Amino acid sequence: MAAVPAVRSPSPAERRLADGLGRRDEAALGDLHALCGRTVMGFLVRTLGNRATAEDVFQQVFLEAWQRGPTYDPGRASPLTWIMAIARSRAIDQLRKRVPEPRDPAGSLALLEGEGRGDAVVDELIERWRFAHLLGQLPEQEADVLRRRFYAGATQTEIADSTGMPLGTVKMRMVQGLGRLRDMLDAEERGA
Amino acid sequence: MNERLSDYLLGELEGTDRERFEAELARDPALAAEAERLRPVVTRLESLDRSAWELPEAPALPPITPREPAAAPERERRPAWWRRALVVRPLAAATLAVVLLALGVGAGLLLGGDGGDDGAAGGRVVALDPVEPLGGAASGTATISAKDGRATVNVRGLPPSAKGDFYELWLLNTPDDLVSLGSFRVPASGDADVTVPLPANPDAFAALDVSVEPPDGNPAHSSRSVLRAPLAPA
Repeated sequence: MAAVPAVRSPSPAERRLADGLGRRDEAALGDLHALCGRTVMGFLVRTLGNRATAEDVFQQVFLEAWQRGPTYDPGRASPLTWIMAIARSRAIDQLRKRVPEPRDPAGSLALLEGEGRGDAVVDELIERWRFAHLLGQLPEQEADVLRRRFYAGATQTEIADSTGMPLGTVKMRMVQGLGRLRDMLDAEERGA
Repeated sequence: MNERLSDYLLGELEGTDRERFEAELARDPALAAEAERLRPVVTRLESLDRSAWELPEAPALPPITPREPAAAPERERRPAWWRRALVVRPLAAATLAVVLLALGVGAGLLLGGDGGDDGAAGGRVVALDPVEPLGGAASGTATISAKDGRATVNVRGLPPSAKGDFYELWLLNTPDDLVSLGSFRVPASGDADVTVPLPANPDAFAALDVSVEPPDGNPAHSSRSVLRAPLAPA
């Protein structure tokens, strides 16, 4: 049986963005850049391991988004999912045409060692950066407690001590932040 | 909100406190469901790349405003190459390319579609848009690195090269002011990545052009452009 394409309910902002891209409105590309640019760049730097190369590919990604704008359907994918799919393709292209050379294994992916596995690694990174993007959409107060806990490694009590927030407030924001992230993930994955 | 839910999810409940909370979860399906809903989020946060917490600034967008397109060369109006006034085009190189193609050698300027070279890191990226009526749904980008003296062109969705035909890259101002950069063929996939040397300053030209050329031995532009990018000064 043929797969049924996923249908999602785009937000009004997503519809406006799609309409603008469809009209080749430069402002819409600017909006897409403002919304997803840092996430795309973070993914490319991490995947390609070289900022100059990542900048080249970044420009290719947004030019392709500009060219393909009229085909973007927000009912099928969020702007993030759509632009990250383009970024994924261009990153894999770049990795495959790269001449093997000695490099810092921590700095870039050793994708040439096995292309199948390489694609899987890129997909894993895409998922992580999509998640990082959602983190950036959280209200600052919630993002702050999550950052202190999961990035800085502080306990909730330590967060309360260092910020002067009541411990109960820290816990409330923690659960609210986790819940909001989960809602955003569900919304993203419905349209992925 | 149950305050101990965050303690539990973050592993900050121990001993009897944890046992008591797990007993509460067993009695309260709604609380258990919420814990299960949030647990994967905690797992993803714990495994998140450290660099993902500090996203880099995004580079500026590439220039996308189209300039007036360069005039399409009109093949019939072009004087024969041996009678043309001095132009920038390296006639000898272009003629040699055609000879090589005719001989089926093609390894010099003819660039295979599947074997792209390294990108020109740090170059200027421009979008190649289709030129009607032959461009169809084709697209592409070119990374022009004047510093390295080369351009890397990635094209997609072009018709595969017909027998003997080839695609040619040009720096173009007018039909009489253009430079051939090299030739390539497009495989069945319709995609090709090529890197060519830049024999002239790209800033001196209005457009980067891709044309489809017949194997007729004529080194002039065929007037059959398929893709073109305006070249704004860097």
